Amino acid sequence: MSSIKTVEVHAPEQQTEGGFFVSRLDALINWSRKNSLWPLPMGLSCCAIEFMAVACSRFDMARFGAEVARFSPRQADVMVVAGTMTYKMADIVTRIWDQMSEPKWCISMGACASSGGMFRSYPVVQGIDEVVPVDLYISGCPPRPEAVLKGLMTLQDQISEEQHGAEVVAQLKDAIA
Amino acid sequence: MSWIAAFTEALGDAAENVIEEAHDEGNHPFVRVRAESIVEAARALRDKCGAEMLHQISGVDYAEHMEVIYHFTRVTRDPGFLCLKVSVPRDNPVVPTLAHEWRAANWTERETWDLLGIRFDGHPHHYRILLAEDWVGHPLRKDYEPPTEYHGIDCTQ
Ligand code: SF4
Repeated sequence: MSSIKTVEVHAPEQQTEGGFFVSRLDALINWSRKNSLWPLPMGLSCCAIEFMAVACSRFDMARFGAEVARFSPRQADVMVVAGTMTYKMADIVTRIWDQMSEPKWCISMGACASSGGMFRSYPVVQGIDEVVPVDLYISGCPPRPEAVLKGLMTLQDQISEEQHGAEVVAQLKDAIA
Repeated sequence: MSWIAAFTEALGDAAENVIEEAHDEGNHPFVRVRAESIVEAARALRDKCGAEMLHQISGVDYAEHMEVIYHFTRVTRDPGFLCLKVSVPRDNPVVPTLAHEWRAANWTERETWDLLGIRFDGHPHHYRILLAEDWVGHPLRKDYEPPTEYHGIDCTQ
């Protein structure tokens, strides 16, 4: 469970009276980003049912800050494509992806979304990475909720290593100077 | 009396012109009717033989000809399935629509058009229902060639 403790917290150099702690600003920014991932459930077929289980109390995605499923692309951070994408649907998925504001990530959940799964037939897109950039693939048909949580945590790890926090700090420094 | 006998009786004198073949044996008896008379036949089946529900319209491509199959259900009296078939030529598959008689026919006829390319004359919304509107071809036809590209997506993988 290394992913939960990725904030770099430097021990306070001297004891202060209040509850202070010292960290690096860029780590803090990444930490807040990775723990408030609002998913957009792009449920296209059976995997979506499994995704609902992930969000419900037994598996409880809320523990990782991702409980607020948003059906509006404007409010979502991570698009979870759960299911079989047809060519007809591909246009809509790309459009919704384009409507999401940065920063945004995309999880391809299940065999169908990742590769077309068992459907090598005329209407099915052979993997959503044909149309949208995918950050993370989750295998399984459907993936177990644990696998989805593991995927979410892996994405969190990726986010905590992103340069975004450092970029914000650099911009702040420029603004102050 | 089997429903086929009742159906023939209900059609009266017209029966000769309407019915092409009656298959009364086995588990799936059916009547093959002439394509032009399908509306008349379906009406007789509903009004005189108690076929209250049209629960499915399907199509088959037999490579030499195409077929439309109408599955009716009798619910209240003597429950059971009643089946009409229509054969159409492959190069010009047209059948009169039942959408004005049964609302249920509306979508199932559109589906048969979408996947097999059988046209339903007089249908109020004769558009594709499942595939994208600009899709080329009818995938359940035996000579269907899947597209190589759709809206910039490579389909050949
Ligand atoms: S991967 Fe399996 S469970 Fe998921 S959408 Fe495809 S068929 Fe359904």
